[in-house]
Amino acid sequence: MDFFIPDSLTITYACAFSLVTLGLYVTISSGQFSVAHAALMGVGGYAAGIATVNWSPPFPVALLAGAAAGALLGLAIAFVLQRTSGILLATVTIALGQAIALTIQNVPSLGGSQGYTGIPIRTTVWWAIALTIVAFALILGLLRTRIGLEFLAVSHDETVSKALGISILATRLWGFGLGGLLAGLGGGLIAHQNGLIQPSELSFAQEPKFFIYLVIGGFTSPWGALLGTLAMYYVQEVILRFGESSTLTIFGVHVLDYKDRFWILGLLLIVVILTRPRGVFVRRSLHWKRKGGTHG
Amino acid sequence: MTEFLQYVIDGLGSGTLYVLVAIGFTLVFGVMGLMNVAHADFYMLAAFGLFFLGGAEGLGWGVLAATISVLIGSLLVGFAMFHLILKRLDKEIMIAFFVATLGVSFFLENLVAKLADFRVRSVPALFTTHTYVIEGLYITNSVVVSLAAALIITFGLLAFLNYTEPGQLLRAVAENAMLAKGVGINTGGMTLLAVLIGSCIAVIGGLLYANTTSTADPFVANTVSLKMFAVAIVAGIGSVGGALVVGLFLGIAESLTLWVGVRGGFDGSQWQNVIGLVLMVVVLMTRPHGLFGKSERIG
Amino acid sequence: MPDGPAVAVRGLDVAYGAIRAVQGVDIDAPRGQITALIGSNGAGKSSTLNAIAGLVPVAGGSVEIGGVDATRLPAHVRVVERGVVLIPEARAAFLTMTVRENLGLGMRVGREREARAQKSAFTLADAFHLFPVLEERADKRAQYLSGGELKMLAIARSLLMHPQVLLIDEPSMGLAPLLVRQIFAVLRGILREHDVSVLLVEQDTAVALELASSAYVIEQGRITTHAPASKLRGDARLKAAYLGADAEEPSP
Repeated sequence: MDFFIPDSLTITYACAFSLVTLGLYVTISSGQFSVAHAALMGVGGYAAGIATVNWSPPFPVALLAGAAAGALLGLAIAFVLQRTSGILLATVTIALGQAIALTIQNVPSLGGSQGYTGIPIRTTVWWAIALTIVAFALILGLLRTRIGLEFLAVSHDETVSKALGISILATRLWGFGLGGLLAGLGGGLIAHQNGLIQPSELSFAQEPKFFIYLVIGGFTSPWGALLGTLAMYYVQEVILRFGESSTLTIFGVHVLDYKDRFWILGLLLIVVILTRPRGVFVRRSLHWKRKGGTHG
Repeated sequence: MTEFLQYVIDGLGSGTLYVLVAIGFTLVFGVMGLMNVAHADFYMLAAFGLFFLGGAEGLGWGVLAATISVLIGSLLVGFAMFHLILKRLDKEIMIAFFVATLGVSFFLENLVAKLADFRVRSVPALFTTHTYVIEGLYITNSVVVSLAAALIITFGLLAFLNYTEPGQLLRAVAENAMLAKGVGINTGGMTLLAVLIGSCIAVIGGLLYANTTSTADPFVANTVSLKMFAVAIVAGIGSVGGALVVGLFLGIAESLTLWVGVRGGFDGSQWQNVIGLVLMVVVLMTRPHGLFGKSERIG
Repeated sequence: MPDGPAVAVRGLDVAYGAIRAVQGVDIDAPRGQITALIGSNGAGKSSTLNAIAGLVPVAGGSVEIGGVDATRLPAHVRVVERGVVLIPEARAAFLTMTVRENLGLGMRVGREREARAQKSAFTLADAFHLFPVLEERADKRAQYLSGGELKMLAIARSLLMHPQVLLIDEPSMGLAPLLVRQIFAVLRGILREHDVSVLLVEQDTAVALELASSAYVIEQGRITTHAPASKLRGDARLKAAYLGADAEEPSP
């Protein structure tokens, strides 16, 4: 069964997406419910691609440009929306991501809806693996420092955190900046793998993907982000390959081809949340309560 | 001046369609305290209902039968969505709830897209379009119908919420679900009622939207949900009357962006989608409960 | 309806995630009497009350109302079919609605229950007679009421619901002690007339023992004492609890 063995392309994408999911995890763990990470990833991809095409710097520099673009956009979002949290923040970030995608689509110099093309292919599977390991290790380390504790405190209760002398704004900037940085890094890898980046990759329609990875993995730990992405991307690829070799037809419609994987993923996500709302790989108790307060 | 008014009228047309999607969204959000991201997909479902049931490429039932089926179907979809998903989710885990409805949206869109072969399809018209010329202004009957629908539905819903017993019970659940249970209100049943009302209103909007654009796009919710969020948040969550005002305003503002573009020699359509976002960010920075919203209140 | 306690709780467990708020609690609230559940802050009093009302999920044990099991009944069914009415400690009225609308929500359940019970009911006129201030403010939104008036509104609404069992969470909270006594003096008559049993939760031990005929003491989620109120009034350990001193002490 050849299609159960992942090829290097699958591993590359899985690693790049896991950086984005890890970024999403970091932002969410700082108490900010962001739904704009596909946009952050896309902006990183555009920045990295533009850098390479125009100035052809060494590959790491282009990746850094992508990461910086993601981080800056993340910081901007956190700053502008510093008074918004919870479900409202989620809503606005959806809209924000969508607006960024639509805006890029309307800028002719970025290639419009066809996307920004002609990016030289520089990403290798080793770059993807190495960056993922380094980023993951750094995040694990960082979450054990004071910043990690502040994330935990702020995501639990902003008022109490404020009373403890934690700067809410600083924590939020860290969370969104770092999340944007990781997403932008992933975007840079993907742009240099595909050779192009399209506005549709930034859109709200891409957003569920990362939530599927994160929620299925478990959104209370960075391990959930990593394992969720790797496992789900792999499952998705298997479905894709199975579809390519499948000859199953019902009423003349080709069933289970590659276009089926999205709705299958959606269905899987719903089933997982209904049965294991805290994720498959992670069992730690959850800090995300909508309203506080148990009764005496 | 005539040109300006023409843009205002065109904006009213799209504004009414934003109103119709936002009302149900804001109602359910108000009653449950949580948002159903998949709500905008009723626009997609309505359009494809027309395409698959009514159109010649589908079952060819004709427009009337398709419209009635879509209205009944919206209740069934709302019912299924409530019983299979919304009811079963742990409301305390906000992120899980949000992501599950995101999953529903992802599932529905991609399933329908697959059935429609990932193409934008053309749908049969609900009615023959007439254009009236009044004082040099072009007014289509579809704008008139949409505006009438938005006004009737908004004021009807407001009257329902404020002057009927089920409406009062809905308001009670929206304000304090725990106490509502304590005074013997079946909060699950009331939530279902809100979902059904929202679904029905949304497909009416979706049918009119499909009629205006003559197309069924599997991913129309990407654009529609943006307006839906903007209108609901700017108006204030739970504010039905506010959704009417803000929805119409957003439609007109977007249309006037085109006008400014024509006057100023740039392509205003690039900036149209940014308006809702800018409004939303400004309102959230200055009035987090929205322009018309009061915390935990619907109506 | 068979004789026996109005409410019988057996081996009740209530948990919030990993925190076990109530563990193996047994309570009998005798018919037609006022029973108090006393304990310090966080001892599990309100959790017990909310579990009886069906507002928090029960992790173990059972709740019987009028001799019939109600453990799995949804909260609104307990209200309408069994007449279990809770007066919460906070947020006990719909603030965006008028006083009259709030009372109307109570009467809605009352009508439903009267159709079943065929007993003389507590009417809106009775409610206004009991609390004249509510009649004065009938068309004001509840958000403009004072804390004491809100409490009266909640009590009046609950009586209109034709309750069989009244669960009252912290009746003395936010009310002047004198007013609590006055209200309960009137309530006692109404409760007797309509055969209502009361289970109340109080932090203020003195108030609780004055109002109730018997009391349970709950500490760290477990019942530690059950005795007639008259006997508990002289209890030294309870006085310590009343002063809040024993919350950290190990239970004997």
